[in-house]
Amino acid sequence: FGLAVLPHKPENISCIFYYRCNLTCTWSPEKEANDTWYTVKRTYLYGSENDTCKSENRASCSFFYPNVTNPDICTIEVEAQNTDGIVKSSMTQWNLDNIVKTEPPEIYCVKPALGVKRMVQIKWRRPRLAPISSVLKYTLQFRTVNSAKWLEVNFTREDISIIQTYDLTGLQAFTEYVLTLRCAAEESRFWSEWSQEKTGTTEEQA
Amino acid sequence: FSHTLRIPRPDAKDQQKIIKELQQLSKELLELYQKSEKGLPESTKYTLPCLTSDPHPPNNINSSAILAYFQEIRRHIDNKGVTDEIIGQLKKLKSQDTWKIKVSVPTESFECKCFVLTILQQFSKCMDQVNEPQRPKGQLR
Amino acid sequence: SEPLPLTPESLKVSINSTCQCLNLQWSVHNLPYHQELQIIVQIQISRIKTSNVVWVGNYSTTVKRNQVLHWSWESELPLECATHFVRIRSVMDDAKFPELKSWSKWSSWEEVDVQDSLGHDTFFLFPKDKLVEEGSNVTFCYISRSNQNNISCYLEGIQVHVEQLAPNVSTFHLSRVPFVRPKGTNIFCDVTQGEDPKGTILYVSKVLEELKDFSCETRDLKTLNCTWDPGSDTALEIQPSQSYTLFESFSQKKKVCKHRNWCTWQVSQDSQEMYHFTLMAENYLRKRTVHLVFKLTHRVRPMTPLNFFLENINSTNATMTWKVHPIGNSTFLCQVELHHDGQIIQQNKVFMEMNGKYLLSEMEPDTHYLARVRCAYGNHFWKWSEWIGRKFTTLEAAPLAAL
Repeated sequence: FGLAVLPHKPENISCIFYYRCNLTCTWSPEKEANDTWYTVKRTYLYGSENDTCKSENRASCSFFYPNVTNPDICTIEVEAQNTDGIVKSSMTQWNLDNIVKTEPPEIYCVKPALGVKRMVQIKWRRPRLAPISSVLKYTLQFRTVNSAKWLEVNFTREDISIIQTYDLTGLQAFTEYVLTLRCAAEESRFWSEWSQEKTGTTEEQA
Repeated sequence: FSHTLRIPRPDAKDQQKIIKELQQLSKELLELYQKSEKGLPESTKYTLPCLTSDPHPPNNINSSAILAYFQEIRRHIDNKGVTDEIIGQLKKLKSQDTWKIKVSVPTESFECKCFVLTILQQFSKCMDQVNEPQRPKGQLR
Repeated sequence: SEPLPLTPESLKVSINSTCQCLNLQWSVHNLPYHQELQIIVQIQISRIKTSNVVWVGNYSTTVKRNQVLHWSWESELPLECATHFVRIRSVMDDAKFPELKSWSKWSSWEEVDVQDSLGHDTFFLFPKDKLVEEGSNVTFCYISRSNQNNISCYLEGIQVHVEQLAPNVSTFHLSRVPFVRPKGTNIFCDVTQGEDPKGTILYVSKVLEELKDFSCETRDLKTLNCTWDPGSDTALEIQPSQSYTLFESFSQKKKVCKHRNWCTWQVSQDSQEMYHFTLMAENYLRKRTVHLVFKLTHRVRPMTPLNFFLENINSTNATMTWKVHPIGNSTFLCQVELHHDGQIIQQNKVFMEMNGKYLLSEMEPDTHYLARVRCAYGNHFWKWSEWIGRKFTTLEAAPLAAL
């Protein structure tokens, strides 16, 4: 006669919403001693609809587009089951705008502004998978090519046009800079990855 | 489902966000449909009711009418992803106490295509109107 | 002698709008001889007025006394768009009566006009939602009851050339229509300013392709797996994908296949040896068939060998052992290979029954090798099974004994 070993109560539930892709939730413990089946119960559309996601021996599950749209408030409850029984997590609530993660922006041009010293204009493409309904906050990091020290500046953009620009001023004249950019929805705690680095040189001091 | 948390309807700010998302989606779906159905004329016979607003505060926006149209034309549109996304967003703006609206789609195939095109065109116009900045928040034409 | 009274009687003409067909039915009553006679029937079809003959043709058939004959004609013009007139006559064409060679009188003209039954609209466009194969020629026509003259028609948004057929009827002709989309090609006419255009859909199906690479094999003499190259899917909004049916002539059994490019067939218990399969692909417009005749035991491809082990590995030798899934009480031909650095350095064939064994020799010490084996049906070679194998390393050479 063996001792019943229930699965651990799923805890530390963490969810990320990849805009127009999926809502992925993870929890702990990552591993259980025995085979464990998870059922993640979700309500969405402000509680008016519900569905489930199942995974086996993996502490992660995803709900997929198009049944994941923002803005929305979802509830997530994880049920762990093995041959000895079922254990439920506590109910968690998620505002998708606070956990949305976007693709990184794509810098495609860094050039000096004619006649304006110690400044470069950066042009980038707004990520296609970034919420139309959110203001985006940006962090621009830059350093001179031969320095290891990054400087950064933060700004926001409400405009949803694909091509966006920023004038970076206060630079050294006739100096090559390395720049990289990241963004996030204004209310979200998840930043995108950094964009690919781009270089640009300020105009010669006359 | 063992859920006990009561989730409130989207507030005014979220309603505006939903409409912004719908505006983009409406353009996307219209463009996809026009690309897939070249040379279709728009019809003047059909009219899609735009979003309505509850008379009494907080003037919640109500999408029941448009939602009924989209649930009917869904099976006539190939791009189910964007269509379901729109239906999902419209469901968020649906007020609970409206009864189901009956929408009849023309059975004749050419008429049906024109009907779908017209609904998508009018939906896109409706979203543009609702999103116009100068309009005071929550007040619809 | 008096010519034979072969005048056709009780001619009736009906319309099948979908196939744009005139269906004729008539009989020849007072035939004096109670036998089956060979006759030729000549048919004349006119459009709009009897003098405007658009088609003449002969139809050879046999006829018995009071037998009702049937014949059908497909019109390139939708039948709704014009009144049609049909008359027929016949002549003996029977070797028993070589002398009776004069045509009968014409039947009276039978008129067919459906415009009255079209309803009260002022504009009609035909054909409605027609299904044709890619490459077909299609004639459209419209009837305009209001005296609108600047009507323009469009194919996928591009204006087409319209010709007048009658005062209120015009036509336009589409040649070699291409497949555009599963939901059909859009055709409409602008009739009245400010009013909705009137339109229809032309469903153009891809042509059902010849079936290629039809082949069947069995892995266990219990189930046959048939595969083929289906070509493109001809599904449209109004036409499901083509269906596939397997028919076996000897057993007269049939199976509708669930998949587009494969199908299984249970081998019958009565040890049927020869199989004659007909694979038929079918959609609304066309059928394709392909045949395959074979002896069951000539189409055996064993399953992948199993329980593959390498034993007694030393610095130069190793022994491979494996098993095969039994098929009846057949023997098996197996091919063994030894690879080093991606090169085949040894290859051999062995005959075996259930259990295989092979000694690999003359290998280098402390060297990485790959050994693998595959098998074929011993009674009749058809195809090899898949490979099964393992990597291994020979032992280091034993130190030479102290001199």
